[in-house]
Amino acid sequence: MLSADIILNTTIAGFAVGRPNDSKNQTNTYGLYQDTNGTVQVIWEDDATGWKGPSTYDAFNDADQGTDIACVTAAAWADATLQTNQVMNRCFFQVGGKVREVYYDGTNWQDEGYLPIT
Amino acid sequence: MRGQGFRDTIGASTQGSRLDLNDYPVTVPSTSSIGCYWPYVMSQNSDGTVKWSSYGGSNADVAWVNYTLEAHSSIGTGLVVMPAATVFSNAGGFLYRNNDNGKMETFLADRNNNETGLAWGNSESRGSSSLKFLR
Repeated sequence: MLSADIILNTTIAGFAVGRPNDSKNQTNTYGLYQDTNGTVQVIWEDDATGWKGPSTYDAFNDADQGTDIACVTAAAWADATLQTNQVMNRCFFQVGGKVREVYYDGTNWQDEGYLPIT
Repeated sequence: MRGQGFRDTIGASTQGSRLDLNDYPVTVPSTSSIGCYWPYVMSQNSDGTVKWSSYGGSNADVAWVNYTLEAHSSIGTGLVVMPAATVFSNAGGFLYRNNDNGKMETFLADRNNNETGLAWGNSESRGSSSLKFLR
């Protein structure tokens, strides 16, 4: 059981990525939600010590209150395992009605700017 | 529940095509969120339990199966489905809001419908060998 309190109707998002240098097919898992102050919080598990966070990051600044958050997890199927490459660790949410992309490179969360959509 | 499949291949229709999930009798209350990560699709029943549907491949005896998992989720909770191991057939699971205590919880599901309710990183539950790719 994780320890972060979340309000009833908040969005929940998350993604998984293969754990680098792991021989047991384990994944690193990230969960995201918006707290009552409108701050996007991240919880994660990337080793055997258990869940970490919640923590906040500048890349999520100014998220609209009540925004949805959507994240991407790479595919895994019969002929492909979930990749350990971090390149697809991306999440999307609204800022002032625009959609911002953020990217987690395995160490830092980076603001990738706004999508060219209206 | 209905599905549309999109494939990024040359010549594939940009509108995608209907999934054979459309022929599978899963009905979903209007309060439910839907979460998915191929081959898992999940929805919430009207009593707060969770319906876990999974696709076993076109050559499987039964392409789609579904289970009811005893996760006590808040009605309308967000549902985030993710793999819990890099080999997809080993484990999938989800994040949701536990209605008993209001906290975010993880739930590990496998094809044998063994609810674990354990933390995601429990090494004993990861990669459960009871999970098999159907074909």
